[in-house]
Amino acid sequence: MKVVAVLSVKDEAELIERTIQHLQEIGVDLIIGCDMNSTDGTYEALQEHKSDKNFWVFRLDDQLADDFQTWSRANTALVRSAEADWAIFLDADEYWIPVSGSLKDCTTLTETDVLTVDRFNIPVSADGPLMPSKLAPKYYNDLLLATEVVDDLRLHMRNNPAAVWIRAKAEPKVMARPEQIEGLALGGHDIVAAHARLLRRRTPNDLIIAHLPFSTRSRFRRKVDNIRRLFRIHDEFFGELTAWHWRRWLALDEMGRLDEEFDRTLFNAGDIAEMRMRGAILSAEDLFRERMTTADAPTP
Amino acid sequence: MGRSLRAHLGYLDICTELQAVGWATTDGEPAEVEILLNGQRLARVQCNVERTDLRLHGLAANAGFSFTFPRPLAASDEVSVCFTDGTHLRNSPNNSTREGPDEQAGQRITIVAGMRGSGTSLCANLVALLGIPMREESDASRTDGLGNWERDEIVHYHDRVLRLFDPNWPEDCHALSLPPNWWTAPMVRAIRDEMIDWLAVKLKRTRNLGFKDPRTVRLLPLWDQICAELRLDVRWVFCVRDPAQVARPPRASDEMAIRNAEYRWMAYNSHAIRNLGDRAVCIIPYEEWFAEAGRNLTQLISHLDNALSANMPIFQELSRRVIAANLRHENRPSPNTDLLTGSLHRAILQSAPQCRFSPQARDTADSFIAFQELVGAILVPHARTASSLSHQASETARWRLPPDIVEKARGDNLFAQMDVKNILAERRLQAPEAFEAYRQLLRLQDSDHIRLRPLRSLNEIAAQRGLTYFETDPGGEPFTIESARVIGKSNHRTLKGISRPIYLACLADARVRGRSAAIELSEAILLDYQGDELKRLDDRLEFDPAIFRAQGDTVWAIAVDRRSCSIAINEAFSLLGPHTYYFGHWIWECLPKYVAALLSNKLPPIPVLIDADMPKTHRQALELVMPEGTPLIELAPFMTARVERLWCSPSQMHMPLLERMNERFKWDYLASPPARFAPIIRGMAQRMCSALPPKGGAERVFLARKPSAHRRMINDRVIEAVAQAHGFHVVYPEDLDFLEQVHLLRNARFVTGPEGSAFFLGFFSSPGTRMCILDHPHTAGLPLLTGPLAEIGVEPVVFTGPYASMHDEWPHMSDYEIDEKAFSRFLNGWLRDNTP
Repeated sequence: MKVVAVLSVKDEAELIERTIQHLQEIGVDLIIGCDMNSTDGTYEALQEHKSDKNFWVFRLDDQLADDFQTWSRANTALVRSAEADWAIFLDADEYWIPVSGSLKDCTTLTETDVLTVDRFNIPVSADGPLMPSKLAPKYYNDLLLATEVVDDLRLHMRNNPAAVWIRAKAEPKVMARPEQIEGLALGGHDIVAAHARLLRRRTPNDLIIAHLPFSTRSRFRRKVDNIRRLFRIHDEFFGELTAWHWRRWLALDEMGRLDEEFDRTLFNAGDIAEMRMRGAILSAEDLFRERMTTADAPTP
Repeated sequence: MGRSLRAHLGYLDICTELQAVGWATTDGEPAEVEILLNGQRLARVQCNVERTDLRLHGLAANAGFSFTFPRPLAASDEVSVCFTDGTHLRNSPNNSTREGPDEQAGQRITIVAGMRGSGTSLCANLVALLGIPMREESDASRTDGLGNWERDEIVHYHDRVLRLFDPNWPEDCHALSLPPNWWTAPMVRAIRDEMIDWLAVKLKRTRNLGFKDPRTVRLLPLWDQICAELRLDVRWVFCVRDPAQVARPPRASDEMAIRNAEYRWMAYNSHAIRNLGDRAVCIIPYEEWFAEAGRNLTQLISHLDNALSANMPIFQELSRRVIAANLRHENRPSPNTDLLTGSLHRAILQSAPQCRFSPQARDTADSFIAFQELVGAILVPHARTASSLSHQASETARWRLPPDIVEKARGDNLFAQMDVKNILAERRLQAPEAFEAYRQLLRLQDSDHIRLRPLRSLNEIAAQRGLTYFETDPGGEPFTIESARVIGKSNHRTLKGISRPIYLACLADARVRGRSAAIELSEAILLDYQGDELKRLDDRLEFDPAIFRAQGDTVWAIAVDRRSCSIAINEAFSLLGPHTYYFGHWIWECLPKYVAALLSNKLPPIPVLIDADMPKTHRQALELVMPEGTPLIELAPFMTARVERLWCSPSQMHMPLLERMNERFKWDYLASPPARFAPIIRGMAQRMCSALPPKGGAERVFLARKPSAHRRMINDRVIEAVAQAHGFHVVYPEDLDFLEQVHLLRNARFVTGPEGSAFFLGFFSSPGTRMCILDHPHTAGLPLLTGPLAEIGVEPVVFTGPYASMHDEWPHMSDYEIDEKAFSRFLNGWLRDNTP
């Protein structure tokens, strides 16, 4: 089995090396690094790994009007020509966590076309993300994840201004068979099926994504600045409902409240204890244990 | 008419080694004069030759004389022309030559300057009365003779210089700003040398010469050089008039136009004052002529160091006639003058008695120029636009021309110019009438009129009449070009042709034009075609800027309305042409002509004539193949050059000017035998690669194209991304210097990209380089490129994708889309596979 990972990045120098290393550790055979015009050394870091065999790199200008189409078509073409069996689509702050430590061991791979993989945010304290230095199975107990499910997070946050975005479970991402892919949805959250086929979709219990949206204040600010530039070009494209959380942060930034927002995302010891007690934060190990007791189900 | 004249008056205008020419009157009637050679009387001559210029001065029209000497004069011979009482005519005694330095030292030139409408013609007329020839008879007969005192030659020389810096000159807005040290530009120096030659000939005939042209003060550094070269004593006469009266608009109520006129007055006078500096200048206020003319006359005579006195009755009478003779401009009610303008005017008037501009005048002028330079970048484009728009709009509307095409045509867009020519032809205008509209509309350089000329083959005429005709290949050999391997749909096939003769020729006394492939000889226009090449396809000859309209075997050729071209060149090899701006043509068609000529070892070390504004990389490419020290001569678009010995070679293939791709067209017609072309390509590459740095650079190169209006690969960004992911370095060659481009291709092992002229860089690739050309299915013409590439050891392959939109006439210019998945899969194999 050959697995290809499409790794799309923009100014993630803080995380990129760890992400690449993790992908290689979980059994990804080919990484396609798509840099969206980073200026912090991320692209150069990708270039260091470049290889015909297992690491392809290309760069797109995210300030051009048709950059999403180009991103989707180029990645689709590359994935489909890579002679791979499976493809995953991720950002640099996403760590795919297979229960066994290898993507290729996921039990649902043989009987599906698309896996919808649940994504959980990693809590961050004032001392940094609450995650171990290595993401191998034996460390899964140290990897904490926010698991609280909120049905309509946008509405929830509008009605509860004190709610904290990071504490809710994030949107899932997909793993798909390349030959079934005709295009990619925004952010790689889904695929467009080739020939409009009806695809077999499942949500695996033995595979999750640990998402690290927040790590340092400087990274958060840079992401907000980048998204502002992106919205200037693509405002109409994103619409009101897409990337609404980024719009919220842009608005907060305009009000001079971005630092305050970052501080709100930080968990103190009391928060952690309270959330763990009610099951809103679980370790990856506990989460897998809980998920494995129920059979994985087809994705609605 | 008042009292009669009671004095001798006369002038020896011309004294050459063969004849003496002049005029003389006594008591207003044609006089009898004696011709003396070295003090010995040769003849007594009754003046009776008709001279229209004399009438203009109130003199007897038949008071001229012309005397031919019995033998050619030696330089040492002295000629005198006297009245019968022994009084010498002015400019007598004289010599037949004035080339010696001592003789030159005494020569003088009088320059009358001043803004139009300031009394410059009146002043020039009076200076002429003082015996200083201010114009030729032919100049006078050109108009009514009263108001026009410019010399044709000087006007044209000035126009040529000014057009070097602004092709739209002359313009109405007086907005031309000359760059720093403009007079040191090679083209200006070439014109200056012509002016020196012309003036030297004039000065052989007279010690004292004058002219009037308001632009002279703008071009003063040039004239300083000329006068220094000829060791001329310069006398400046500067006419000035109340700014409120100069260049007044027809509608006095037009406040905007009034201020614009004042601005022009300030601009002209400020630059004049700055340029003239503190040199001696006779300042002549226009209004003074009609208040107290004597003061101006005295000033003028004193400044010119003339023996006449302003009080002499004869002169007073002549002056009165001139001043009264319709030369007084209407004095209109004066509007309020701007404070700064009024201040400069007053300062000029106050400077007049000192015959030199006062510090106050110069300070004011400097302040204005500083302001003008500050705001020039903003104002000049507006001013130009305003002045040209009204004229252009009326002409455009008159001939129902699309304004956008006209706008493009006014630049150097040959397609747009061809469109204008064709639209005017569609209006059923005869060629001369159509050309007049074209000329008025576009105001292109050196495009004054058209001449009907036979169109002839360069090869044929060069073989018959060339000073040199050296055939390097007789041609006539059949050849074929196999197509490269094509992946995808295509319409390629093997191209067939007969090789054309290749030669090196030198033509005598030829005229060429910037951006034109046409060579004009006195009897014909020549183009590079042989045998039936021109007739077997439909070529748009009017694409060439020298050809206004083609008519069977003749063409209406665009010509210059002067005695000489813009520049004169002794000897040069021509690489001019309408295709020189296009990279593919430059590498494929143009440069090989020169390299083939060099390889023949018959081309002497001579300059190469090139189009001035072609991309710098083209020039860099040429410099890499030229023998060291070979000069380049640049010819601006449409500018003409007369070349005494013009060297030329044909291209390897027949290259139409702009072919019609109709049922008669075949790609075979543009083919050249690869086996013969390859040594020339290698010759180019060898010369270029010797300048390359050591090996290095990208192994995989994607030759990207910037978005263009035609032949677009519509998913270019996706394909570029895919290529990048496969390790290709995406390069826009036009962003690099030429040597960098060659370096890039020389060291690359894999090259791909959308079909375009950049693939001609493949000529410099190393043997064994793999090249994948992305294209649409119309691949019929590609063997023209892939044939020579394969011949030099490059391994081309063509990868096609479906049309995105079809071009109506030129299918090879259609847009297309490459299947990015298929391309990515292809690259996987192509990069891995070692078999072609």
